[in-house]
Amino acid sequence: MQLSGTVQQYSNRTIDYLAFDDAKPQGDTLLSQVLVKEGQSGAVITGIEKLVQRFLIELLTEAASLNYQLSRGSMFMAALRAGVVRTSADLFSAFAEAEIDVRQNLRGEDKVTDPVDEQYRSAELITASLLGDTATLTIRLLSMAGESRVVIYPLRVSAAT
Amino acid sequence: MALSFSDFEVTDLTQLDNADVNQLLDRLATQLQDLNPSIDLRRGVFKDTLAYYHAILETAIRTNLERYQSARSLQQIEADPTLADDDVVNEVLSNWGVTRKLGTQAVGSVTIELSANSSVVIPQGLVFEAQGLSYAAVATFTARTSAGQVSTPNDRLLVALSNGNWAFVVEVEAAAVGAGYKLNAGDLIVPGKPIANYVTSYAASSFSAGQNTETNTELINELQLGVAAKTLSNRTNMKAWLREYTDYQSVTNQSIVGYGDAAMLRDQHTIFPVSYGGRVDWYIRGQQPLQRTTKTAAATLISIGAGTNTSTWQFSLGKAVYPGFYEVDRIRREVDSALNSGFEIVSDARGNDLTGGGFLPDVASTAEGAYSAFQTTTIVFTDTVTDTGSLVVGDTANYVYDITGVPHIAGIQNLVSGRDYRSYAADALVKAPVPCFVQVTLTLNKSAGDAEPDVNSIKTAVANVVNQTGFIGRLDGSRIVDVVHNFIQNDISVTGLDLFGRIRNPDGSVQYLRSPDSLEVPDQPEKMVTANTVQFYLEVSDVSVNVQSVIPTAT
Repeated sequence: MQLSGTVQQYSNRTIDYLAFDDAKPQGDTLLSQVLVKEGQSGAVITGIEKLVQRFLIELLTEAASLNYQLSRGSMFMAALRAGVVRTSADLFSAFAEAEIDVRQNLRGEDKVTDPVDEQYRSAELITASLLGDTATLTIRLLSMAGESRVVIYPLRVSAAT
Repeated sequence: MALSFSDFEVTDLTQLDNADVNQLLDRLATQLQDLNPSIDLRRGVFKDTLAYYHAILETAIRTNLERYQSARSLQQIEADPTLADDDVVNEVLSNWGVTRKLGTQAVGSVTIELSANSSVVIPQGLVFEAQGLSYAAVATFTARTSAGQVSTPNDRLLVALSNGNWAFVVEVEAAAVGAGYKLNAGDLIVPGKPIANYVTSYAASSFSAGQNTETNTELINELQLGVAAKTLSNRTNMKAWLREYTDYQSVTNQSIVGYGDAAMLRDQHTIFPVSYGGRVDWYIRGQQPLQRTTKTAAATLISIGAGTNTSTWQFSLGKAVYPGFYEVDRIRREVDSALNSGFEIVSDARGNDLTGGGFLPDVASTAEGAYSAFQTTTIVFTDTVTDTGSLVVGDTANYVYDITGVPHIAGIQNLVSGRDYRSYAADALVKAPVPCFVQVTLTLNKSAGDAEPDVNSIKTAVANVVNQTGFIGRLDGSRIVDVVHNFIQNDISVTGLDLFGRIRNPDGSVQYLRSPDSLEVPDQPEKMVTANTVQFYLEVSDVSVNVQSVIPTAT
């Protein structure tokens, strides 16, 4: 199922590239970290999708890995890479620690004039499991809009086939 | 080496300036936001992935350009020449016709004394060492026991000495370029491998060549000379003109005394006590250190001491022997050539030889021609060693003597006197600067735990700093202490500085200066002794460094 927003939903909003494709409103999914998928166009996003993407980038960016923005990122990937996460409980612990960094960085970027569904409030790890070298996370992300946000799907133009 | 952009290129993107990257990132985000307000450039993929990395690459490009422009900027080079790349400085200054003087290796002769009259071979490349510096024999030399065996230029005859030893001379070359390799006559220089019947070896005379490569700072200081017309006109032009001659690259300090200068006496040769111009005294330090050369002269016996074993001898030095020389000393018999002491000089009667063809400068007195290419002298000395029993007045004998001075005086005089170059309105007399021979004594105070200071290096550095002093009329102790501090650490201190100077005036008189603080050249223009005419000379052997352990060890 390919979801797409409408042009009207994007009016008076700033857009971002869709970097983590294949997100679905429900159920588990494996995100694709691509700007353009084969057979499709690239996509732009706005609203809560932007926030989700920012959250993921921040969470998955290893702290101090950007030479000229050393405060960016979190320790989440570093913890995974170091092998200190061996149980789902370790995942919860690592996430909780990382979320502090993510919160600080994302809130530092937000302005009160930004749409509330693009402003970060919090993130909570609902479930976490480890299977082999695969970690599966279910994260609840809250914007300042709370539960009332409207999901605006990526705006995509189907590529010619 | 050709200059290429890669010499300045940032090769590692992690080495950029953090502030530069973020400043550019902010600027890019702002500009792009203005260009397209619908894009979110404050956060997210546009900023963190696209703009961020673009900012890094853009910063790298700008940094490359800044480095390149800085390196090619004369202003930047002048701001701190020590930081600039030598090749870049060469290329930039070549635009103004200034070329770096390249260093040369010191070369000289070494006398090797043997205890027996037996042939030895000094192979080419045999290493000799003096004061921690290395030299190599320039060819394979063979010491021969009789003149009949000498058949090639590298066959050297063993000469009997009065001390019972036998000596021969070989030529060596310094292992590297630099003035630090120049040895003075008599300096000990020892072979790195055993030589049969070896007793000792020492520099036969001052080494020649041995010049430092010009530093960036020195080169920048010469910039004006590159721009100036190379002609005998004003002071800058004249220096620029001389710099063009590669034969005289060892020339360091120069002072040009002319119309309006109190020390110019040659333009007052009229019945009126006024200067009328048209005369130039060009004081040229032909090389940084004092040149000490050993020569041989045929002396004539002029008297024999009554009832004593002393004899008085005389020899004359024409203007071509050592143009512009300062002094003759250490006169000894040929068989005693290794001795460090010499016979007493009774008189040193200077004169001027203004004979010969070509243009001759206007020189009216001995003092005016002192240290010029026209200077001559007659030396009278007393021999206290030779048995006078068989001597008759009028006998001749060879004596070895040391003579000090600086090179190039005659060569430059010939140039400036040439019809093609000389001013049509003036004559220029080239002179070696009036010498102030300096002795320096200092004490290093250390604790017992401190390592022994490198005294040889300190002596060399002190000699260099003194010999680099320009025509400023003073030698300040602070400059000496400053250079000594480069060689000491911890709590080691410098005290007891004593500066002693001996000025040999152009008229032959001598005056002494002594101070723990600063030697100041007296202003005596009537003697042609002023800051504009006097240079300080310090030989390494005249630097005394006392080391004493008097500082308590820190606990």
